[in-house]
Amino acid sequence: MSVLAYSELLKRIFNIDENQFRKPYQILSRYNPTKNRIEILKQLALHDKITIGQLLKKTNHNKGGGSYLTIKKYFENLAKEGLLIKYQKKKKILWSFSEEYLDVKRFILQ
Amino acid sequence: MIKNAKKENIGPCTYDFRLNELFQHSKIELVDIQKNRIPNIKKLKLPYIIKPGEFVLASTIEELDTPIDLMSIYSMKSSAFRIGLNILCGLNDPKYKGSAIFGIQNISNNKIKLFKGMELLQIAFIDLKGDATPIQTQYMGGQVL
Repeated sequence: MSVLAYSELLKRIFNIDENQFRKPYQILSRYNPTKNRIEILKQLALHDKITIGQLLKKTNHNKGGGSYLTIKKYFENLAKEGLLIKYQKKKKILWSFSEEYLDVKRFILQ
Repeated sequence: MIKNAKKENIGPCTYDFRLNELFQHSKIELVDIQKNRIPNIKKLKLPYIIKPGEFVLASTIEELDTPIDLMSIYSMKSSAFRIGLNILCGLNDPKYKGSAIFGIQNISNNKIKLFKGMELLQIAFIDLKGDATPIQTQYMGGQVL
């Protein structure tokens, strides 16, 4: 007889296995996951492909200058690690979660 | 296992239930379960101010669908008795389906506001050793009375 603890409850209620998120968590924690950054990643998870400008607008942040460059650098780093993918559409740069980390998208949204 | 669950409500080894509906007993001369004399229940509107000494029944937003290899035990959250509420609750056998039903009594001298989503009850699931038989009860499906 044993009592189900956090990871088992997560697995049984939400079908989420904590271990599958160990790698993406390590990646996220490497690049200073501030509240704003997580908020922007949550917004990104809601969309298939989206520009950083649109994400900043949807999260009520300043669209230009420092905010844009900071998030761009952050996204570039996550793309280097394989968590995000960058698409060029004419002059626009669109971002999305990579196929490999679609589960992270689901987890972020829960 | 739990329908309408919220990830944030999973604790170290428990899950916190959220208040959904409140019910009040009608007043009858004598409650006698041998003669099936039980009070009717009336649904109350939330938020509800519970007076000192008053007792109400409650249901949860979450709905259980307990697997055959588990049983669950309800317990009051300490935040409930800290404000003067006593929570009356029991346990669930394997295969119970439905919302959790529990009692709330105001044991303080103050009026207390009860609102939808209030977290007063927590549940722990226990892994069973051996084969259990599924529960058969009239309260299946979150029947209040």
